[in-house]
Amino acid sequence: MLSFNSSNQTYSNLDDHELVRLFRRENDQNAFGELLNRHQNKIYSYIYSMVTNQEVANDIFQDTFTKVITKMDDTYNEQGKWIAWVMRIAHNATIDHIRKQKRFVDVNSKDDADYDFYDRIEDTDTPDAQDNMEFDEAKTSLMKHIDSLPKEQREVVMLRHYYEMSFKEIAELTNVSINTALGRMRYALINLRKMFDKENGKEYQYAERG
Amino acid sequence: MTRKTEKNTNMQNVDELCIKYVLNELDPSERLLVEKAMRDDENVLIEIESLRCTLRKLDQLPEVSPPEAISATILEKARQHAEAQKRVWPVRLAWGGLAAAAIVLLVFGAQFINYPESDLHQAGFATEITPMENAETISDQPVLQASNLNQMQVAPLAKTDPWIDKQNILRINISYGPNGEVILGTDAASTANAGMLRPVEQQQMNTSYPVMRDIQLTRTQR
Repeated sequence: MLSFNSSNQTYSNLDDHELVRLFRRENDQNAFGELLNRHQNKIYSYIYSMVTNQEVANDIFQDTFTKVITKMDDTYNEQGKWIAWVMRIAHNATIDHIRKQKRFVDVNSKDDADYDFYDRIEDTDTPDAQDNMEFDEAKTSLMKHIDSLPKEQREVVMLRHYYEMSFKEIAELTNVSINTALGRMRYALINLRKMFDKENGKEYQYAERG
Repeated sequence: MTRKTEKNTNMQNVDELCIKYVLNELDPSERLLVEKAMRDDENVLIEIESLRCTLRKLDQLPEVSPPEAISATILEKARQHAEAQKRVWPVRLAWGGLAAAAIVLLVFGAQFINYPESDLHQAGFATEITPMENAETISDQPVLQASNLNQMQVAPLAKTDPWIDKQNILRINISYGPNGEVILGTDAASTANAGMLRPVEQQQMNTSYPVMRDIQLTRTQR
């Protein structure tokens, strides 16, 4: 829970537009604090679910909000939702990171059926044991299954779940058609279903549509 | 389209409709179609229910909070940015104030440029246009000279409603002499064949016919 000196009750009653206006025009840092408090969990959860590494997620999250603070005057025009603008920055930062990492993938590892790309990203600093435990708790089997999805399917699932975006917005953000975005979501759900069933020891015979 | 291709296309369409139905991306008429298909085809019903079940499990996805240290760092950056903006804006306001003052001076100063008739006459300018008996070359007319300016007095601000007299349009007959000199004539005979206004670009130096110009006067009323 963030704490800053302000009448939190007052700020919590304001909507995002009003808080943004207060920060931009009156340099009210407490208004920004309220915005951060409101949306940080969803943004961080999305970033973390995509990179599944705490240190990397911290860096991307911090970079995202540094850009938000410095570029709000230039690139946010208060027409659309502020959170949608921030999500776009977070998404782009996450994808840029993933692309950079992919350039350094060991070619030989592609032959390994158990290869998990994200296992190869090692922390430079060993995290605190307490932090590890907390993140392990958070990292449920669901998250592990989502980890296993192809990046494009994971992206659609996370954008839909954490950002509550429509498929039109997801399609625009990921530069695909709406039908492609829907198709990726469908395959993601089918793959997740198979993983859950396998985990539960159930094997369903899905009737083939003749 | 072959039967197999048609079947595959239909299945693809059904798959699309199923996922759209589960995700509430269908319009009402399409929803009715899918609900009918669910009643008619058990496979469609199973597909939709299993997709729904998986989707519900996603609700269990945890929300992960960032470390407090990271949030504190971000808040500190916001504070520093707000402080820096507070220092920048007074400077901007100062420059803006100077610019505004300069504009006010220019506009205010322009109001004083309003010459009274008596001063113009004293300076040697004709204040009324009278038809000339004979056409005179332009070189014989009094012209604006630098010495005349000293005799002008700046009049106090007057009412500046523009006056346009559509009935008393000055017509000037512009013709050219044998040596290319410009000859102006305002007498009735010269202006008898007044024609339509011609664009300036059509003016020719050595025309055999006079070029007519219509000039409408405006003046400042006191």
